Amino acid sequence: MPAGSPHTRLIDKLAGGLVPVRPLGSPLRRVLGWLLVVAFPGAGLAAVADLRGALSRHAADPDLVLAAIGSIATAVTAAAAAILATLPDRDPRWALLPAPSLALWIGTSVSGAEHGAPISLSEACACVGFILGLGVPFALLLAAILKGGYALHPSLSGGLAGLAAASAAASILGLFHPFAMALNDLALHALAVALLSGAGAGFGRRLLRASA
Amino acid sequence: MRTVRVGLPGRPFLMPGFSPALPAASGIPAPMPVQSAALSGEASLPAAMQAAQVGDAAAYRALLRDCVPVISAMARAKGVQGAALDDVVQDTLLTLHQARATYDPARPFLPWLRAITQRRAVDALRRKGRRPKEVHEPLAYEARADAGPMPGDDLERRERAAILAAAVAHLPEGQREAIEHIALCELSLDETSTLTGRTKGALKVNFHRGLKALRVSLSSRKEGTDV
Repeated sequence: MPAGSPHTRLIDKLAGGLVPVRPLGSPLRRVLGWLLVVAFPGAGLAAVADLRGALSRHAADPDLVLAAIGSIATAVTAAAAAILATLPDRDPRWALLPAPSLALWIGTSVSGAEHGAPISLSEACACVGFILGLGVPFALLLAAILKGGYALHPSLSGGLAGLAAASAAASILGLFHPFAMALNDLALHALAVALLSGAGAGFGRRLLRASA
Repeated sequence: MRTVRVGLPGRPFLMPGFSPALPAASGIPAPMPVQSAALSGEASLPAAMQAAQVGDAAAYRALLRDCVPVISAMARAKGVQGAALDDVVQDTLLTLHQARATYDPARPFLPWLRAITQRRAVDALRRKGRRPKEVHEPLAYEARADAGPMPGDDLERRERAAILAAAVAHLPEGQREAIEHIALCELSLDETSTLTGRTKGALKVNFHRGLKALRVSLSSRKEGTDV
């Protein structure tokens, strides 16, 4: 490579301004860190929730149990996929990690809601408010973790972060959901999850590219 | 502009078995696809990157120099050619620099570099795809309207100027001065105030009244000429 070539000049500039960086922690540790922080408000809210009522509702409806497992698993796997998507050498197919649990969550929620009586719009909107109100800070927290990495596909990472945050919020919402699942309720839950995931994908491009 | 090194003996971090392709400009086809198999020299790459992460500029400079032909070969294998190849190399070097904290020294270096290079190569190919292409279409070229002035444009412009001058000349003195200095000569309010001895407030009022009168006079004239 000639001494005055653009590549040499760029390399000299990059090497000249080199500052030490701390390698990122393991993805597992970062996922666990996020889950731990998310678990705090979850535990706090569980303390004030009617746990006995929630357990009896879940015991009476196996679909509800499967839906809860699906939403929790989606939160965990989507957070892991979002973090892995900020590591350039990881297979992009890790983005499909939340797909099975998401399918379980959607499938069991739909089958459980088919026979439920529609709930009032105000109650359904309260669910949306809960998911968005809790999901946005969860998503911002995860975005702060993702900013340490380098997202080659920032929209994908952001979308997965939004999905993880919305799933975590929806999982906590299960403790405060005193009525049986209904299709209109489910549609608004899906809308809230889609909104957070879409916003994550949209802002991910800006936030995570800026970090890059 | 790129120098070509095949085999690269004596390079501290480059894999001996790795043979970067020759540049497309030389007309020589790429000799072989990029190999990522465990090559004996590859073991030193994680160490070099680890040294770069703790701030060893010399190790980093050597690593980046050795990466250039590797990136070039990877981008060429992805279909990038010509001048775009240099862009991809530079983009990849910049990305590598920005993403260096994401490299895990416990993992092989080349897959990490390849993922970044391939992404930047795809970006370059997309940019190239979006760029308008030159096509050979003589008929379209001949039939395209000339964007230059048409015959008679100058005459029309003079006529318009004469009509405007006549309309301005019919304005009361205060309005005429305001229009001439502020609108036609593009002077500031301060400059016009100094020239005419009128206050800025009076000039503003005269200017707006003059514009209104001109609008009425010119629109009535236009209506009169329309058939």
